[in-house]
Amino acid sequence: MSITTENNEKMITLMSSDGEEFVVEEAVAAQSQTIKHLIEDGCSTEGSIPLPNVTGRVLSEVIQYCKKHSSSDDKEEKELEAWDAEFVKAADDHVALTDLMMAANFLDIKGLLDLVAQTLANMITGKSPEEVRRMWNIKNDFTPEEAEKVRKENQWAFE
Amino acid sequence: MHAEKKVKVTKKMNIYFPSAIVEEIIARLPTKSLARILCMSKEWYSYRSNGKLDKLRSKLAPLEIRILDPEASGLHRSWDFDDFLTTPAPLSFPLERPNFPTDQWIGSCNGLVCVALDQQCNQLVLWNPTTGVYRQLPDKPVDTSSYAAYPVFGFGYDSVSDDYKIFLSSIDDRGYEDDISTTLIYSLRANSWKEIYTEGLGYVDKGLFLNGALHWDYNGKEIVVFDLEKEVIHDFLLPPLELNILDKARQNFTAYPVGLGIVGGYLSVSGYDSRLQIWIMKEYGVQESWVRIIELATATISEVYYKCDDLLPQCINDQGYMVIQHEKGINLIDFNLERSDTAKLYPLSFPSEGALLFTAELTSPFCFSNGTA
Repeated sequence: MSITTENNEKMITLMSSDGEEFVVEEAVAAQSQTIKHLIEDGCSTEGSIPLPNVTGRVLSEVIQYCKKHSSSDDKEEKELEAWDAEFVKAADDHVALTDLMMAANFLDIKGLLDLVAQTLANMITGKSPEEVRRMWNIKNDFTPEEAEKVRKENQWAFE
Repeated sequence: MHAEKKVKVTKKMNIYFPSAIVEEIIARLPTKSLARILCMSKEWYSYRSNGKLDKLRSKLAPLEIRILDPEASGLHRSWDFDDFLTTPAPLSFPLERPNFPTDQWIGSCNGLVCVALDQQCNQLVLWNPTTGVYRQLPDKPVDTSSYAAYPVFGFGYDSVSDDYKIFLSSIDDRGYEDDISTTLIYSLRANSWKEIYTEGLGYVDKGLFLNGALHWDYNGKEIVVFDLEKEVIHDFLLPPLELNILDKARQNFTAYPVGLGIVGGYLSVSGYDSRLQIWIMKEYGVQESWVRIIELATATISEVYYKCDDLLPQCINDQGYMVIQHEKGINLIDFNLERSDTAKLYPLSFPSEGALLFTAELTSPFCFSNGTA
């Protein structure tokens, strides 16, 4: 079952991992290669597409991005760039950005993936391993001897 | 002792990063930040030997071009091409260089620099100036040390066999009627030399690496190309330079006023007479695609280029400056013609002979040997 709007746009329903439903135009949802393939394979006939890896909070952000990017054409590139910059700024911190990155990867939305990856890369450029470990809760599993050796071999990068 | 103390559970993320995501992020880091951040953990450190990351970085990482300025002491300086007014960073060559400054750069590619410690290229070293890691290469199977002519050489990367290769062709001119040329190819993957048959290349020297091939300007007539994958020689036609001093140069066997370079990723040719022309090959290998991108009266630049025949346009940085390499060193040219109709020339403060461009990358000269360095 799919709904059609007054403008004759085909609508589909996306369901987040926490059960939230989003009704969006098919053209917007199809910015995601993953969803596009699901639609093509007829997986949306049951009424909604479940997205078990994406929470409602993240999905609403993703949809915001897809809406903007499906309605703009190439002429508005500058404006779109400014919008993208605001969009990642609003995502606020590295936790939200990492969630967004995971979703962009799972949903296969190249533009969003590039945008968030670059933002995160800019964020960690210049940071020490200790700072980035704290950011992402990464465990230092080197033995003291190994750590010493690695540090020595990469001394130039710490100068 | 503190068993009763419970680990505080925070809402901090404790996620498993799929490697595709890690790669997407770190592929965009500047080289120094990448090297530092990979020291976080064993898993992250393992990305240092990840071919997929290397490929991704070649597309996504900021291109960090450095200018290597050799000094007689062996202490070199490295300049950041995008920020050439800053103080250069000191660099020290890891080995004794007995014949400096007669030793020579064979070439640079993907962050690796190949250096010959002697003029006949008997002692070769692969060096990553960014990380400081170096490797002395095995002896050549043919001793060419008594040859009078300098060898023709080049260093580059073959993506098909994922291998770095050195090309060395020496002409044995010790009194034979016909000069005999010996051409040797070194493969880093095999860490060994082999001899191949090629026609004699004449008296050209350092090959320019681009697109899996080495390129030489041959007597101002054509571009000789060595395909590093197929290991064969072919040629490209030069663009129609119509230089008015080329014939004279040919007759007198003087240096040809033609130089090869890379401008904006394209193979480029510069010609120099009363004008400086720079052409680029828009579609690699398609000879009809030569386009002239710059033409200037040399009067505006002759102060600097007086008697410098060999202009090698190298590349354009973000600010629109182009590095020009010639036999006296390296200069910058303000290439942004939108700003002014005459190109300004910025002689750098280091016009030393034998400067070399390289990129800051983590590539190790031991990249194909398991377990070492």
